[in-house]
Amino acid sequence: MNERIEELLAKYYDAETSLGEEQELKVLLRASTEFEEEKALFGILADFKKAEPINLSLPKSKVRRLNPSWISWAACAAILIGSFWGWQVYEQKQAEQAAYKEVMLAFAMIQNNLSKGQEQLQPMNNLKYLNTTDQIFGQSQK
Amino acid sequence: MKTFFEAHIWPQRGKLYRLAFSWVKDRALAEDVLQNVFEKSFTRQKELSEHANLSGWLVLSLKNEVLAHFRQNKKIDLLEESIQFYEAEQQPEEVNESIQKVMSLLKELPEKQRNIFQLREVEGLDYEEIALHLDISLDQVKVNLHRARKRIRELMINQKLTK
Repeated sequence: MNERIEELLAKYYDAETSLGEEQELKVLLRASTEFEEEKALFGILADFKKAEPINLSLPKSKVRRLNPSWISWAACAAILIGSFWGWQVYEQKQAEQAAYKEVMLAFAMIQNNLSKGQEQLQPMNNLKYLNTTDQIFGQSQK
Repeated sequence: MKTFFEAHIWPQRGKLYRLAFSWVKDRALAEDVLQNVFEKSFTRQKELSEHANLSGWLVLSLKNEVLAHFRQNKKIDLLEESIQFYEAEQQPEEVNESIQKVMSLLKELPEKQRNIFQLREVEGLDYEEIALHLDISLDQVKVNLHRARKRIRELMINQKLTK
């Protein structure tokens, strides 16, 4: 076993060992009673690998936070403008409605008067029989 | 569904943390710089998802973040090109003996060798992965790993690591 370790160590110090051979070397060294210095070296290197960060945190996506005081003023302004605009629209609709009613009333009145006038004109219908006496009676005498 | 960050960047935190830790020798600072890198990479997920070498980008960003920190604290000479992180003279605090020993070994290596040695020995990466992480050629990885291991062996003999 020691021969194999010596062979691997020679290759190791010449930087010619593969990762697999280095692993084999470490395993063999653990079982060996010699090569204290190499065992110590690999021991402290393995200990160093155990050093892990403890206070690192995953970065978080930066979400745009709105300024609360600014947003409250903006909300007040939006409510005021919205209310004023709503009231304006309501007033306008009311005015339109009133105008529509007035117009309709006027039309109704015109319609009413027109039908009255039409009724009064009914007797005039008989005027069409003027000068038609001959036509009515003359023809029957023939 | 996991985001790109959660699937590909977050799982690398241990490795990146240990790299930063070996550079700055301070747990809290290593976590701070890594958190900054994570915040930046989180906002650039889309761009990074199309990046050819994500690990290389992360290591480079981490290095730049560490340099920026030291510059801010005026602990390195701005005119000096080859920056040695250990110039910061940070004393290891609350670290166990093993980590102190690793730090004292790594301290003796030039920066490139140190990073390559750490990525190989601690993180268990293969040559191609190391080359990608540090954005260097495979040959450079092999040569520097060879030199680093030779140097470590010398140090072990001189310092008697087992004591």
